[in-house]
Amino acid sequence: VASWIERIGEESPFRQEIDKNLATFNDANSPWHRTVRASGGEAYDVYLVDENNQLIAGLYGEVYWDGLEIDRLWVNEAYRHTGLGTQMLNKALKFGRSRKVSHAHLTTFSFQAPEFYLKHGFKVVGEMVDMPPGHSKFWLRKELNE
Amino acid sequence: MTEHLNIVVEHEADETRRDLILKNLRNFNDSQSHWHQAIRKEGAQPLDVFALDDDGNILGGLIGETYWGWLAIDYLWVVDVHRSNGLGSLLVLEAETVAIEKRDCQWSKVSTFSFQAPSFYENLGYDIAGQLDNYPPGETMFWLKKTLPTPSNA
Repeated sequence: VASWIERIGEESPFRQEIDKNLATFNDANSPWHRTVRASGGEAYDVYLVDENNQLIAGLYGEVYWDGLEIDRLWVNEAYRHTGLGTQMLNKALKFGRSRKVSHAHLTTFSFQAPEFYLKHGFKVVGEMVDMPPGHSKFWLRKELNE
Repeated sequence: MTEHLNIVVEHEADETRRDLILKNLRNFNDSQSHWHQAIRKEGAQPLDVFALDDDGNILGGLIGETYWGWLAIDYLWVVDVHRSNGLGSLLVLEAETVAIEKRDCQWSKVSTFSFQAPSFYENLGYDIAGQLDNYPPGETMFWLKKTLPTPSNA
């Protein structure tokens, strides 16, 4: 016998219990989840700063499991289309190869930089059309051991 | 243009600079997508469904939120003894019904690993929108999408 509880517009204290139970299930079924939860990934950050230590561009991500995940990439507007994004991406990919991971992956929206990543050998492995409406969210992947 | 610039590489997360990159990226997103601007201002709306026994213990739960016309299912879990008896389906269908009728949602999405429940979602009408193979090694991560039916009593 069960009863339903719906919470709308407000987070329920039960959320934590579901999170914990799901983590336990994942750890029981995937040694990789267990490992990354215990020891975390390895952060990778690269930034470009000017003489006054002002940020001009940056990329950060993480190596875990068998891949390099690129979380964020940003270039100051005045410096876009000057190759800084490519330089940072190449540094990150080089780091990934030094860690012997097989691939790099990331997500990007249609209004951001899918073309930039495609130009650098990434392939679309997923597309959520209308996320947000009128746009798409892409998942991109590049093999590093080819 | 870049001759006086310094490249800094770090192998430990630089939280201060990470925060700044994130802030700048969000500003860019907000300038390009009014959807991003809106969700940042208003936030997503939580949508949670739980099944409890008579003593108030959790038998299963779905944790999600709605935004941009989407139901995003973040977590779904059902206690061992109630797996494969339809409780999970009830949780998903209930969340979808609320998303359709009370939140005007048109789509639903979820991600799941190969060792979790991809076929469960496919049976509920979700289609694979993408997959990342060997993530983690030997497994696959799937992104699934469902176009929700229009409200029945509209």
